[in-house]
Amino acid sequence: MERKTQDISINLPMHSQMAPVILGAVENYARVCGMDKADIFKLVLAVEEIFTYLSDTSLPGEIMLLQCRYFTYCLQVDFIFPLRSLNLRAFNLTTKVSVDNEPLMEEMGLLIASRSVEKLYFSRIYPDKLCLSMVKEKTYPEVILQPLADLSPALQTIIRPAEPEEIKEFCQNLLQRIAESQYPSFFNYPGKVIDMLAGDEYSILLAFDEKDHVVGGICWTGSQDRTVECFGPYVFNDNEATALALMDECLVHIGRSNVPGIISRYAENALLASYFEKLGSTSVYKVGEMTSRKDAYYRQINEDSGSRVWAHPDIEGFLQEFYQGLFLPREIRLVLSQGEELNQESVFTTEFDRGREQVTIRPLVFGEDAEHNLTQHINSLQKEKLFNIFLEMDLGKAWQPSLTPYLLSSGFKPCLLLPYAGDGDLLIFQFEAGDAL
Amino acid sequence: MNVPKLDRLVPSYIKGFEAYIPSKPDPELKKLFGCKQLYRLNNNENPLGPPPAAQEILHRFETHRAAIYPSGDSYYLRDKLAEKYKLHPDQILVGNGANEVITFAIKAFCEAGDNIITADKTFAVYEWVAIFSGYEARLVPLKDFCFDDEEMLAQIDARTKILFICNPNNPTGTYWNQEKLCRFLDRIDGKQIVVVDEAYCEFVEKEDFPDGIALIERYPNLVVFRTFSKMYGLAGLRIGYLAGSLEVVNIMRRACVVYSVNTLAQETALLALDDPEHIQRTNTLVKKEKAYLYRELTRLGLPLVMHEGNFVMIKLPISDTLAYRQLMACGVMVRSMTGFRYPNYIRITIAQHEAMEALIQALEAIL
Repeated sequence: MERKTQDISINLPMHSQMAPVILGAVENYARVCGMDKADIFKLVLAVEEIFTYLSDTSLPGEIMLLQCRYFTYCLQVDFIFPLRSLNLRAFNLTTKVSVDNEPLMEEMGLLIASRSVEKLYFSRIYPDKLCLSMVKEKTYPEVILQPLADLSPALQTIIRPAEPEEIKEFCQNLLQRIAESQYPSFFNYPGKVIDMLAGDEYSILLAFDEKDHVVGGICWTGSQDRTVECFGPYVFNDNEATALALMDECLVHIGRSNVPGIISRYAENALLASYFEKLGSTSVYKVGEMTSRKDAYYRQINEDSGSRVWAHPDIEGFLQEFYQGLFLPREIRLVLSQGEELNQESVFTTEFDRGREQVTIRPLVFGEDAEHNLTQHINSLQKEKLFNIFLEMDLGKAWQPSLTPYLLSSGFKPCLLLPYAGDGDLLIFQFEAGDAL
Repeated sequence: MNVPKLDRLVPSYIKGFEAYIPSKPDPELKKLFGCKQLYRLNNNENPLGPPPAAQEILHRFETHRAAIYPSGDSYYLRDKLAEKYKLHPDQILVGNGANEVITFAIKAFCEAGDNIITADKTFAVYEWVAIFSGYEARLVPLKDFCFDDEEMLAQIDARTKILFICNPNNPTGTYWNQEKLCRFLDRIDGKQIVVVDEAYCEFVEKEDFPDGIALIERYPNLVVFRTFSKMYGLAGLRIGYLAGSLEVVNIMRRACVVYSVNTLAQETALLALDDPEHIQRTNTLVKKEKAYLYRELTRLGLPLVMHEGNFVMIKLPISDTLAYRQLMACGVMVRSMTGFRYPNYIRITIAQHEAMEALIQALEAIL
């Protein structure tokens, strides 16, 4: 799947004099893409803060590549810059800012930027370059619920891609006929769903009865070599055959690709048994209290011919049990500290999903202060009323499992393992608040 | 040294295409899945191996000949095939497996903006070669597990150059009979190239199954693919060929890579053609074991798609990729079919009874 984006890219010196150039470009690009004034203001503010920080910490003559990509429902700005001079520590969520300290005041800009956009994260890491990405979504009106047509089990069901008005009908049915816990919050904004689909990042298939009423649907996101997440299948007329047909059609669309697998966190268990394997479950916190457990299901798309994963001895037993349970062929190689010198400071990047009150932490650099830094992150997130805290550990990267003891002692527990979702398998830890809340 | 500017260098159709990752060698798989023995039921290979005369060539091969180039155009093999099928040797092109002759056809006839037409659930290489060469692949859904002639004809436009039909179809085993194929070719009326891939034709004993090569004289736009990988048990040597009218093959020769077929492959293929008993022995085994599988899979309540060829498809009540891993742990390697756009199906190669029994036992254990 190729995204239908209208990209722009600019190479420019990392010098504060260039700020008007970059801000003008981003502002005009956002305007051309149809973003409203308030969203443009926040985006430009974030870009200004990031560019100022990066140019102030750059070496003379360094060049940055700025890319803007439009995905219909959001705009993504990528800053690709040399790694050499950057103080990565500033990207920790918990960076302390003091008004008395000029260098640290500069880091305040990063905090402002991270709060002005939906996502700010390191999307790619090269040997000598980093790509810092920010995503600003458009603002959409919430759905106004309307009366629904009576549906009876269809005699004949047709599955096909959908027109925008049919997607709105699907959202109306979904919001009124399916439990809230079974779908993600973006379905409350049909205009956003339509734009997400137009941006090619998301796909949808709908089922129609003989009267051309929408009786079900399945949506999925992710492409090429990324794990796909599917939402559904949802069926509005109690027809199990329609659910099976939707699932089959989704898999037919994804089947002949290098997508490693498909994950489902929003569907009925009965259907999933014949298509998916249970990976584990996560706790769902709302306003600080654990309200439910959510199961995650997974299915590989291609034959698994095995791979090597790195693991800390503290987690070896968990991994062995998991891999044996799902017949996943893995050679587990243990990582052990041999007294080698570590970086003093660890760095974690943080991705927010405020709709789900959720945050995902990703390690960027392992350092001596990892445990302290993690605790600081948790405290900071809890102050922001974010209690669904996850950390992704890439078992394909040999340095990451070294974090395991610090995670366990900080209150994180392994909850899911996504095969091939990173350089290797991705082990997801969740912070279990327990009595701390 | 700077990393090449791949974003600028790589064509968009390559950027969007995903490489096929073949499975690891058997010893590696055995180690990973912890199985002592591995029954290979995933690639539709012939469990009897090559015909005895061809095996003899392999044993007798003089090692010093490895230093000498093979015949660049498989001279003697083309002579032999021409004699067998009553064609001129220049009507035949031999390639490094049928996969290579697919590229000869597409490269010879397609240019930017052109398209090919085939089915959605068939051998994937027609689709792949078209896409990674920058051409559109129009995929027509199978109808009742069979190539849909009417819909394929409806998909043709001014930029359609080739229609690919897999006969019998891999993985469903369905086929077009002589009447249906000729009717289709009549309606094409020479406007496009029609490729009929007969990789599994030697496994079909039905009287109405068409001999594509015999139709070339009547339909000069017809190109037939055959392989030594399946019935003749030479998959490891990679050798296949195409046959067509002199005019069409002369064009395809321009896109043909010479010297791509090694000496051993050419010489074993030459002798493999002389052993009709090998075909008989193989088909007897396939027939007997298909009957066994039908009985046992019916007992297990598993729906199956069983038509022509040395393979069957089984519908499972669980994910096929999970079944693949579970069966591997039992020492049975099958083909999971999500990649063929048949979710929750597996394809089984018909093999000796011992392997079929192992499969049934493994299925009983995992379901």
